[in-house]
Amino acid sequence: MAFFEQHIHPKPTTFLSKYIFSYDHKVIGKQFLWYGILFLLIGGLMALMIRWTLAYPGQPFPMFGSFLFPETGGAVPPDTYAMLFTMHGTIMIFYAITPILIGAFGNFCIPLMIGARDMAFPLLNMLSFHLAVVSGLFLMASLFTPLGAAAGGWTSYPTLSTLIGSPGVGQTLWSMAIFVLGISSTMGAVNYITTIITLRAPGMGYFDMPLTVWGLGLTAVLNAIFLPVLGAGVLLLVFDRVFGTTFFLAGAAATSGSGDPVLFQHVFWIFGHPEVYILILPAWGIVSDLLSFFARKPAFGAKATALSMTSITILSTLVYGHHMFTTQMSPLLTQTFMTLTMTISIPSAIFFANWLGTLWKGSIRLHSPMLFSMGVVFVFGLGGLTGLYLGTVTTDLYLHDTYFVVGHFHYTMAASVLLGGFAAIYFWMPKMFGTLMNEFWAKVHFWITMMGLNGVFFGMMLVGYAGMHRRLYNPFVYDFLEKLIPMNMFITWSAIIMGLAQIIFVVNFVHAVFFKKEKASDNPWEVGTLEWEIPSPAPHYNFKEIPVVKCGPHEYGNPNLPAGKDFQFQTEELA
Amino acid sequence: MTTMTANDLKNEQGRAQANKVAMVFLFVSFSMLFATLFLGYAVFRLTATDWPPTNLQALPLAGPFVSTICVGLSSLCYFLSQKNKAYSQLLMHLSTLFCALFLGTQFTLWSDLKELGIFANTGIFGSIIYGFTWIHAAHMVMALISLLWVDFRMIFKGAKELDTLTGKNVGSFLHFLGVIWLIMFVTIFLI
Amino acid sequence: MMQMITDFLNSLTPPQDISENGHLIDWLFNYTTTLNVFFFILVCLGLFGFAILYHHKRHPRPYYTYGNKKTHILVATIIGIAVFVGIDMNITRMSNDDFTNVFINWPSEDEDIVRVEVLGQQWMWNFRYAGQDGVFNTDDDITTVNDLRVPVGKKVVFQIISKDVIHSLYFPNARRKVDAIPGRITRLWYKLKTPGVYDIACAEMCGTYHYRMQAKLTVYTQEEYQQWLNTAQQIAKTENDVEKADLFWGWKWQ
Repeated sequence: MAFFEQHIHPKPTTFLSKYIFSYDHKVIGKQFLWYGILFLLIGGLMALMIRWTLAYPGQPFPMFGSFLFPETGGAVPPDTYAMLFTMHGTIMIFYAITPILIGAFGNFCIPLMIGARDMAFPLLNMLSFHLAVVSGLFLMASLFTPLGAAAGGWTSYPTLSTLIGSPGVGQTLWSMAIFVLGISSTMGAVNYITTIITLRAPGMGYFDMPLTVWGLGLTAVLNAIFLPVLGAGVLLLVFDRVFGTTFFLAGAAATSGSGDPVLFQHVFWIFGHPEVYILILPAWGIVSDLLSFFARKPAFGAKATALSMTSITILSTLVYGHHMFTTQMSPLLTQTFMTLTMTISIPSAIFFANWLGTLWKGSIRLHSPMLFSMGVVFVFGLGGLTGLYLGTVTTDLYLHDTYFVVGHFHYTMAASVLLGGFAAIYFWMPKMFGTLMNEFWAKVHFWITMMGLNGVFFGMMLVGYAGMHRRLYNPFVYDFLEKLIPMNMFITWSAIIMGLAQIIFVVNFVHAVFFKKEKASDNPWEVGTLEWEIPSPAPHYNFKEIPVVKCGPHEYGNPNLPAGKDFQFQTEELA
Repeated sequence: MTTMTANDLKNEQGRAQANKVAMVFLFVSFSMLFATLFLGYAVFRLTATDWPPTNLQALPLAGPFVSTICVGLSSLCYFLSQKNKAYSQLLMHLSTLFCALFLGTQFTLWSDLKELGIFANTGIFGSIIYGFTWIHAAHMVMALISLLWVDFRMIFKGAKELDTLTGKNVGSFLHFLGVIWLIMFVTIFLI
Repeated sequence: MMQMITDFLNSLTPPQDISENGHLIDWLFNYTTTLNVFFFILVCLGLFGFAILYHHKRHPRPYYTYGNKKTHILVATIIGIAVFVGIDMNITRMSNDDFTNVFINWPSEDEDIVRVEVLGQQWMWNFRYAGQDGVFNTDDDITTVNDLRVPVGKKVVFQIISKDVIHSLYFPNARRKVDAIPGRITRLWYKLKTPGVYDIACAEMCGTYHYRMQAKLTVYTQEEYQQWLNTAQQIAKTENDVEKADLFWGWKWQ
């Protein structure tokens, strides 16, 4: 299959060529991982500040409060609150989840799992990370501008995000940061797609690829197609802000001309809805693989799962209008988008059936990656089903822009993806860093995180159903929301517990990366995909000889295998 | 080059194919960027009561027309210099020159528009003309830089430079931008 | 203790429904919930049940299958279709019926309706009644700020626009909201049934004081409403300053 054989690069020796300007996809993957974890920390702290404000409005934030907001005695001021939820959303979506799932594991897994020595374009890959760093600097710099960071929500709808609503330079920097990140991700995406098409090991057809690679590949396709749409949108937004054009200004807001603020919403959601799947597809792929690996039986209906993911990828481009029901599109459009949205449940139901089918009559080993994968199935079930209320137009008229939406998309985008990311980190840890993380603390981390996140996100859906709308500095100025104070306190404490549980993870992770003496074996999980045939951690050239693939990635429990062996490598002839 | 083995040759062809795949997806990305812009333009154009706004005179057509010729000639020269592996240095120079001329005519277009009283901030009409030409010109600057790169490499390393993958990729990028300009010229200036 | 728990659970119900059609939304919500709970229990049974039943200690030899037997494919397909037809098409049809028959079934021009124009701005709601002449944007219009008063038993139709950024007019008690967008008019109608004072909110992020963009909805009986309207009309006639351009933010009813 492979179109050409990559040369083995000489081993990098200097610090710069090894860790900073490295062409090696594994090092770039690790760079993205650290980058993502750093931003996850920042975004997580912001989330806690938001939650604190919602439970205890006007009270000083514990510990850091008086240092961060001296002028209010430690309480989060209203304008900062708006910046916090804007930056929280932006950071979590574009700077935490995207780098961890797509940047880190996309880079790390794709070449290893398809038997390549590196990405098709290593230089492009390196530049992609460096651009991501530039973008991150832009975003962080905006926090220190005179009027503060962007404060129009992560969706940045004009006209609030034009000079009329946010005169500060922070919003411009935000738009620039997103644009640069878009370039970086598009470069990455083109690289992933080319790598998957041209560098699969000889003998590896598309359906012999692990489902992880399917998920990552489909994500890359969506990225390559739809990130430029967002790019065009924010570019015009920058023009509106800097050069005084009037693309998104209208009515009394524009001094002359007649732009259209709703056009931005269309452009944003043409990108934005696929973005949801951009984030979740890698997690789906990883989970589909891990369930099979730890249930010790072939992935149930692997082909159907792959095709379902593909059809969701296609459908995701046709349904974006359900984000805009309240802008009152024409009834025909509204009905069309509602119906199209609902068709997504067919492929979703199919791969849910396949996931459960994989577990059925397996021989399940409940190691930490498996626990996290099953956690994904659980939370994505909740997230997916609650999407139904938002896809039907009449219930959406009530629930739109309430905390129900916030709870729903956190279940699908935050909870599922985060758990999927953790599963991936625990699982590929030996191949990345050569050590295993402590299994006991991994399980403790899982259970506390699971309880915490369900407390937070289910709680959000409950308060949303009770009518609490989004992005309120102090919801309790409304009479009908006053009764929700206890519930909001519950959510906040769940969030704090969930946040504290991540300390367990960080300590476990840092310990395993830097301090653990005991090395992991080459194949601690007894898994048959290509990356587990090479030493742990993977050498810089990956494969000394390009492997030849002879069977699928999920060969477990074959009764024809010799006694004592319950799996086979992809390079072995099917028993 | 004479010692090239069969395996090397296969690798060479494989790399060329990989580059083709990558360029296809890259152009999909670029096309989506411009498609979004044209979508916006279509929405504005179809919902506007009068287009162009009545208080404006007709747009200057001569400048954009010259631009079209320049970008076309630049593409043509590049194509001819590649054709039959002739690798003419002169044609390469001409291609670069026309590309630079194209950017020059864009500047005259902008100053013409200003004289007519059309500014970026005088409503959606100006916004679209300036916004779109800026974005396209920014891409043309990238194309010009790549052309200069190839041109210089040709001077110092010989004609073979055009035969490398870079040479091919730069060429297709240039042709792609030419097509985009042609669509812009027809939809914004002519219709 | 029990009291506390019941209070806590009661706090999680939506605000009192005061509109004649709000129950459609509540009903669909509960109906979807029932179906969702059913399917989610199935997922959980599979997830937890299999994890216990087929734990490697209890079930050391897995069943080797790719899940591509006819029965397997059949079961997966049936589940897919069951979910799609059972939940999705079901609720889509209901929602679509409610949507076309009620929520966008605009009252005709000759019905006896209350017309209100709404202008959202940072951070308040302006309301405008046509006044005696029945024409909007004239001298005798009644305008209020953050204070909407409507009668029970009559259809109320709103036309909404925004002056600066996008807002969203949100009536939690009527289960309805619609965006207020600069440059284009959006519409909403409802019919209320319970007199009282309720909250109106802005549901779309509109700047720092978004949370303060709050108005009061006073629902009167028809007699009380007529009384208030007469008084307000008198006040408007004497106090409307026709020299001020600010007064004429309205538009011709469309």
